[in-house]
Amino acid sequence: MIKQYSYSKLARENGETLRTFNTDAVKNFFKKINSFLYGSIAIILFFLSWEAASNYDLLPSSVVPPPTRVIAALAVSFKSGELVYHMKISLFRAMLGFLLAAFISIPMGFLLGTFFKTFERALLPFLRMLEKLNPFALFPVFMILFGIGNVEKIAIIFWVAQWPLLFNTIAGTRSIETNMIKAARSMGANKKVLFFKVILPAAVPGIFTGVKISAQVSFFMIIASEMAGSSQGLGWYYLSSSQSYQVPLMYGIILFITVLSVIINLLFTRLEKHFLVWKESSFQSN
Amino acid sequence: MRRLLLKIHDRFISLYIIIAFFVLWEVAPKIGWADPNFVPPFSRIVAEARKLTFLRLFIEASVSLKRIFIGFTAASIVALPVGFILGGAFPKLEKFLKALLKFLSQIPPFILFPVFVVVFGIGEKGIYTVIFWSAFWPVMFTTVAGVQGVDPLLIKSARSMGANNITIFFKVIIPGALLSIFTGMKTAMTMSFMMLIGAETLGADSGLGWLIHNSQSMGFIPRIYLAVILIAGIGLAVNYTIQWLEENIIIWKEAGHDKAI
Repeated sequence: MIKQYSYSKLARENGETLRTFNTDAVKNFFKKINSFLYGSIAIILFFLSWEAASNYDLLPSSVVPPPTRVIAALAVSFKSGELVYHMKISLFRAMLGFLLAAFISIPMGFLLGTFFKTFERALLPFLRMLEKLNPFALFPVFMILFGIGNVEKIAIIFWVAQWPLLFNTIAGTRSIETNMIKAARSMGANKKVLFFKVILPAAVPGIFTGVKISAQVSFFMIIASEMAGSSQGLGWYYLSSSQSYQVPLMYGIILFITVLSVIINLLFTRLEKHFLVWKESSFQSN
Repeated sequence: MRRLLLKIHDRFISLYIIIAFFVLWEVAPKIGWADPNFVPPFSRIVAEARKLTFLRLFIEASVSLKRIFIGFTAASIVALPVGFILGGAFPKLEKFLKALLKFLSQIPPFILFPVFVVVFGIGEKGIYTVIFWSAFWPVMFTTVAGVQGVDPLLIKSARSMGANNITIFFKVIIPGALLSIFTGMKTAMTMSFMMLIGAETLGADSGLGWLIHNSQSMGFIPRIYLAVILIAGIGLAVNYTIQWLEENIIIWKEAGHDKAI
């Protein structure tokens, strides 16, 4: 994006048309598609060799079914609506916990990072300690406190999602050069202006790094917590299929969960990049 | 004197909150802010630890640590050469396989546990595999990144000074990639410790995760809290050990670097 920006500016200055810029974008697009196809060859080969291995009895098909059967089982489950039902529940819980964490810990991070520095220094080691608490170990504690159900799941997601958000927001507010704050202040900026014009823009890339990490963690943990104790959701669906020895369906759900987490990963990486580029280009235009 | 006190106060400022937390934990159930059945006071958890005896806790902890040690070591032994080979010798193959490897690394490790139960049966193997899986990817990816991040100029200059491939590998590539590898190992250790507890709660007959799972199904609430504290303590200890190792090795590296300059 930076490159494109400077390129178009250069083109304008040289009196060229913007057409060169456009072909550049098209080329970039094809390059992306190309690398995507290139990467997927290995994945396709992996599944093909898995299929071949189970067809030629290299793998015991009762334990490792061929991918065609896995996909067929997944399709049956999709058609009956069961898969979508459990996915919706899992995503709903993960999203609610994640949003709750975002609404609470990003403002908290700002407060701790900017205005309450002594308090932050006192609190930070304690928070770091809490962050390191093993979430798997905390599942029973959450079950004791909230009972098993939606509230408990959302509380778990809130707990695990808040730490990356909080620490990255604090780190983001810290990354501002003090000279910038001094300069803004010497130009007569009050606290409000300082916050919205200097601190917030500089902290945004850090915050979105936190958003990415905690979105990944949220999805990961919702599956885990549903496996630990639930009667709904993808994690439970997976566990129940494994307990009833529906082996193809079990592999299908693993595949489905992995694809979902890849999608979430890509989506939020994109978002993070968007804000990172925005920061750099805004600095450049200055 | 006043300054000294202030300095001490400054040093321990973070300790106050931790102490306050434990005091609150002790007091809150006793004065009725929290239900003592669900949130037992801290002293009852200490009493529970006494009842279980130190030896028993030590045995559970050492079983868990043994599992982590074996799984983590196996993962490192496999992941380091794979990373060096993919990153250093076959960069094209690495590019080709990258998407597949990223895809495989996205599979949540604990989810594989039931699969390994189906494949190998209940037992230690499933837990080892979960730890192996969670430790393998961070180590491998950071090794590849570390090897590829070594300045090509350094390799070229070593080669022009007549170093053969083995010398280049040991004197240039390994020291150059070490920082990145250590970051990966740290992540791998944190991940595998987390996954260990998850795997042990799903199916094991000993270990810290089992302690939690067992006390949950028997309804020993103080014991659950005890296990949480124990796991947190051991997690912190493992973390600090790795950090200490990293700092020591990096210091050695920097000193070596300085000498070379």
